[in-house]
Amino acid sequence: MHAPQRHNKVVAFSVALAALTLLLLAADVLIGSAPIPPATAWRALVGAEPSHVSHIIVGYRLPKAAVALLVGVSLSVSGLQMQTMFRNPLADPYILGVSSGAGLGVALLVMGRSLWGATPVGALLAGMGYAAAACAGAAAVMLIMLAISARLRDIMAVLILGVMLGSAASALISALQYFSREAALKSYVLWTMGGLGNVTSAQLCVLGAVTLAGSALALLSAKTLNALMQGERYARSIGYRVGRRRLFLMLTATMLTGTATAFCGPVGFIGVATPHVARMLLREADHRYLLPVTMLLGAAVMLLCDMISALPGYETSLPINTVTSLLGIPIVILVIMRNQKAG
Amino acid sequence: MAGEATPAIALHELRTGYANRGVPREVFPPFSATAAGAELVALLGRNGLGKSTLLRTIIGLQPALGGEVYLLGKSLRAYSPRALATLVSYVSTDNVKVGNLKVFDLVSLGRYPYTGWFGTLSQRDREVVMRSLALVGMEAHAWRDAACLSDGERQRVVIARALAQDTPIIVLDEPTAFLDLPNRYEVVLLLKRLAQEQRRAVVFSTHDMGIALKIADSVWVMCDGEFYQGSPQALLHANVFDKVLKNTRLAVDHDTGEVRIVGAVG
Repeated sequence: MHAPQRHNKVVAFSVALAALTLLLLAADVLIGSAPIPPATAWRALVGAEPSHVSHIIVGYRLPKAAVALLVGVSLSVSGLQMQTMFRNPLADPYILGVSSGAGLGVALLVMGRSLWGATPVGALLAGMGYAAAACAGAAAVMLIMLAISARLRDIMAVLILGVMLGSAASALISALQYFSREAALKSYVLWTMGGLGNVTSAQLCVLGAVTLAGSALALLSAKTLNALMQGERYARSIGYRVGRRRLFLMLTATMLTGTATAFCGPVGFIGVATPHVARMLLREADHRYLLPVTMLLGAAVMLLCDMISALPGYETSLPINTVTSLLGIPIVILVIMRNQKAG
Repeated sequence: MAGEATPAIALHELRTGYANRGVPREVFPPFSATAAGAELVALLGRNGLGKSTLLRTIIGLQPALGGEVYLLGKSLRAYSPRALATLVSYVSTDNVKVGNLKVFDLVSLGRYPYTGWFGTLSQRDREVVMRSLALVGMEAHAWRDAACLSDGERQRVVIARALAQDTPIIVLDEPTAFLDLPNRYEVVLLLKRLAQEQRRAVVFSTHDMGIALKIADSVWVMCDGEFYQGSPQALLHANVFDKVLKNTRLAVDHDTGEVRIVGAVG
């Protein structure tokens, strides 16, 4: 097998995956508690349907599907970056506690506001949007992880550290909940339940811009990620200024995770699972191939999860985090078993 | 040897060690040494004397506590990271297993100092990668999964990766560890051939004293806070290895360099 052949294989694969994603996007718009035939949905899209149908399609289902796509891309890309950065096949924003850090940021914003009220701290918190608060919290956890994991040789120790930091963030959130007022508590609890449908159009724009920028930056860092696969020392021996590159990677991953979490709540296991599915399908380790395929897979998987969570035929829907966990956890278990066999 | 040309590596009153919270902790007293181009240098010494620290200091992965490292006559500190990467390549003891990584891709990491921002390999880069694999006898394995190689094959592949980096100096940390006896000889003979044919300075640390004394052009010995440098014969006659094996039941034959057990076995 030679380079052009490999390249063609990945391109063909990406095109097929992109087509599948588009198909899933259309299906996600069509599926919901109110049955709307495709022809009606299309007329709603072009503005030729009565307002209540157009409201469901254009006002609710289309933005929700767009959010699913963007969040799928964001979490998958940052999951792949973290797996390589921490040289740990089980790293992802959720497992390493970065999502919990984002949660703490949001908790401080929502509940801290009522605690500090009129003080300068309260004014500062009120001035920060959900996204900024979540990114700040995510960055705090990521910095601690990077600082401590540099001294840890064992990959399991890094995971345990992530779980500990996540628990610490949760404990702080509990303390905040205990002291905060009812209204603030309620709006925080609603946020933790997550959901792809509660995103305003302004938030959708922010999410879209961040996902686009983050994905572009991730593609720019493909060479660095390939070099880091062989460890930090090796990367330095082929001329990389690892500290600088790693900070850049960390900022990208934090930005992607923080924004997605801010608008949709913590969404688990997508970030850890999709890069592995990409590796298994492509049988490649090169990030120049893995990154685009992981992005497309993330989008497709998240759209699928959104459709499952809508529970077609029922009045209610499942929380998105439940669906992603049930789909992602078997993949994580598979990865652990394969690693045991290889080691 | 020295004096006729600029040595590939020259260590001048080098102090290696770590700065722990600003307090320097020296692992070995200052010493000086040189390695010429096309020379195979074996670094010998018992565990914990700082052989790996010395190798990492030579290639700039950790700062020296004092003294100076000169590479091709210029101070290490005068090189940018990228310039350094085209001057010296490094094979560590780390065995990082990445699933689905092709042997070709692993070796092409050595071309990274020469490729653009996206790491796209040119036709010449590909040729260098294949030629490097051919030099270590692994060209038939280019498209295998690197995680499935045997230890001996893997060691050859990471040596090919260093060759692909196309540097006049190659530094290897214990390349014969974890290998069976024939492979230990094969790897050191390969290094000898590469040093001679490719005109590169090759420095490697090892615990295989017998093999090193038979094959290496020059030996660096770290022992009891003293540093010795010379040809295997010269150091044998100067009783350096008797100092290394002091307080053990082993002795080295001064003519053959063979290690033998003193007294009855068992």
